[in-house]
Amino acid sequence: MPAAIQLRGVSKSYGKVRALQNLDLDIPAGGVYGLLGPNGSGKTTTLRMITGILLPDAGRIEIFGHAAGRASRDLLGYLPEERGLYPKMKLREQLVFFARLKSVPRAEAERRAGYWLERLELQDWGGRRLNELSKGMQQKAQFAVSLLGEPRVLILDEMTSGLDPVNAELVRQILLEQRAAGKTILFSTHRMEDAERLCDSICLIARGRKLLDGDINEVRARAGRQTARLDFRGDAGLLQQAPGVLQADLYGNYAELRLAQPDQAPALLRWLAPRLEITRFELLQPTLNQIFLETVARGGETAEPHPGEAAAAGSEATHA
Amino acid sequence: MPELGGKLLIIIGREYLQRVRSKAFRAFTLLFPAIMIGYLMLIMALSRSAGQGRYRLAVMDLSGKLYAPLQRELGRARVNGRPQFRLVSVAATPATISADSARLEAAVLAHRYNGFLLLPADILQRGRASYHARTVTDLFLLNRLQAALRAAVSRARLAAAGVAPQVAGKIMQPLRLQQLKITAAGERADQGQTFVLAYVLGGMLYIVLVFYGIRVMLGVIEEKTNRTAEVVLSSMDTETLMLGKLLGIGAAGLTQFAIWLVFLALLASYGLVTAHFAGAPSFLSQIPHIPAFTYAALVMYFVLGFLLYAAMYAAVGASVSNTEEAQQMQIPITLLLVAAFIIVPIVLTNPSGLRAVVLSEIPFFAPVLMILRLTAAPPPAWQVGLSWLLMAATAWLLIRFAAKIYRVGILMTGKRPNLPELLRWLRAG
Repeated sequence: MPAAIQLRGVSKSYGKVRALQNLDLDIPAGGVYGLLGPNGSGKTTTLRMITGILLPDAGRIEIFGHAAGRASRDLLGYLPEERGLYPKMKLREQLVFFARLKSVPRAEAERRAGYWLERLELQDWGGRRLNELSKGMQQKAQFAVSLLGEPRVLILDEMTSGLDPVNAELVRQILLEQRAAGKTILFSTHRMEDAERLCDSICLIARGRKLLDGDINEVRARAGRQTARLDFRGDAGLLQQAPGVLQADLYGNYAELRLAQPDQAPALLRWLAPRLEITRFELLQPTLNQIFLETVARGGETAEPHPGEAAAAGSEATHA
Repeated sequence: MPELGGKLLIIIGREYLQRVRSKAFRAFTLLFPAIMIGYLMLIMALSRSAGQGRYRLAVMDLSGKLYAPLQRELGRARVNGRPQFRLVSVAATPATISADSARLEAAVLAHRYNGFLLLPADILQRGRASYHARTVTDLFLLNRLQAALRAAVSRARLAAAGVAPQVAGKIMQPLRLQQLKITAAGERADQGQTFVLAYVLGGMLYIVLVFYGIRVMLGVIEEKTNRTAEVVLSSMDTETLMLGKLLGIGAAGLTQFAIWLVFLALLASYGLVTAHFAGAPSFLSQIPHIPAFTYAALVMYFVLGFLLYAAMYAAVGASVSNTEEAQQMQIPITLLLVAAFIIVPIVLTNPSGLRAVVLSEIPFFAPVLMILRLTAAPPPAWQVGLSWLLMAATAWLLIRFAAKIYRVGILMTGKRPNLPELLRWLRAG
């Protein structure tokens, strides 16, 4: 699959604080790509550089072969984490304005503004100033702004934060349409459940470094099935001594066993069979959250210490 | 370099229309000339009424020779058909002078007189007299008394030297120094209206520069605090956004300024026409004629001055995160403009002197000082051209400087940067 967005060796610092170090990314065209990581990990910085708002200190960013910046901005639609539109400007005027900023001719901009007002059930509010609208309506308006340019890539920073359930469903619907139309959707989140539901591919970053990335199923497969669920009767104390078991969590009549290696499962089963009465043995798919925590735990030993993250003025850290 | 295409125009269009369509714009456009005219009329009314007062004065003439001539000198002045000065001679001798003075002082305090004149016996020899009153700041009265007394004393001295009264009359013929302003269009009587006009034009320019400079600053802060900047910047460069803001808001300011200038020009020409037909000097006819070049120069100084000052205001806006912080950071800019006004007297005393020329070439002062010189004593064209060149160069540098601050600052929130941080922004930009 050709890459929609490609990052090579991208680094960014704010003063002494390293927000991003040597990041490589290949975001495939079409589909949903999730940029995952805790607050302050460099997600917003990455998205701002892709949109051309920030310049990287080092490295190269390309969007469909164009360098990030003037040549690529019209290909992108951006929904920033901190929502913001002109409070005193009328809604319809505002939509037309932002569409025209994406080089859409005036007549077409007006047509699109009309379409999105109707689609998002805001048609009665087009003549109102933005500060007269409810919070939910303002969020829908902000979402519309990111779509007005009919971008090939839609970039959404923490899009689910602060959406009420009805609007979240509307947004999900529209995103699925966009994906079906072959658009690329790149979003960041610190909530693994969102990523699990929507993403085709993911990248995990923490402390400005990439931990892992790729197709979500491959990522899961690579992480391996290292947790076994065991329903049994017998002496639970035996489980701690079983070969290849790192940790055994007991939950009444079943246990979860963390294995050192995924391929140890058959040997473990052979060892357990004569000692316990086993009613069920299942290897579990790891959740993204587990994968993330484990990768961070492993990567944490090699990653450099990260000084004063909260001092990164203007980065995610200030509003984390 | 900013993008000089459609996106810049869209930003300019939004900034311009948002401002021009606002009620505040309409109100200020109409109110400001009304306030200015009211203010001017008040000044003129006040300056005319100074000299319209009537006075009742006591005179103690110990020389015995001056009361009658003084009476003649002052008696001619009339206000609304009645004598302006009523003199009362109070008898006094050198022996009782302190008691007599005390009595008159009491009378002055009791408001029976505005004041009293004490003319000593040796006034012709020593040339000293005194005026005693509750208020001694009425310059009109003091000037009149002094002139009348001097005339009376001179006549008495001439008579004492044996000069015939007819000859004395010829010697004492009054002399009037008329003020005429030389312009390329010819000479014209001028009693200070030019300076008033220079102040009005300079003040007008100053007010729009500050007003629209601060609009730019507030616009930047607003975009920053309501986070609109980030959405806009995903569609264009920071330089383009900043330049669009400057030009859009500047165009709105220029529109307002142009409306005022047209208004002023109409008033002035209306004044000339009515004065020509009615023959009577009216308030309007006192507005001096402004040459077309001065209008053009005004517009030019507005445009360049605006770009220069607004760039600084934009940089302040980008480096703070709320209006309170901005209050402090903008003080240096305001001081620059105030300094221009402090320099004004230096320029007015000798508008073509070296000091005035050098000071008015400094880009930060040029808008106010050059307008003053243009109305007071038109400088040579090369000086005007040079000041434009210097201003344009400074504005260009300041805009580039502000764009750097803007690029880093526009996404910043939280604490205000200190000087080392600002310098780092400049390097990073």
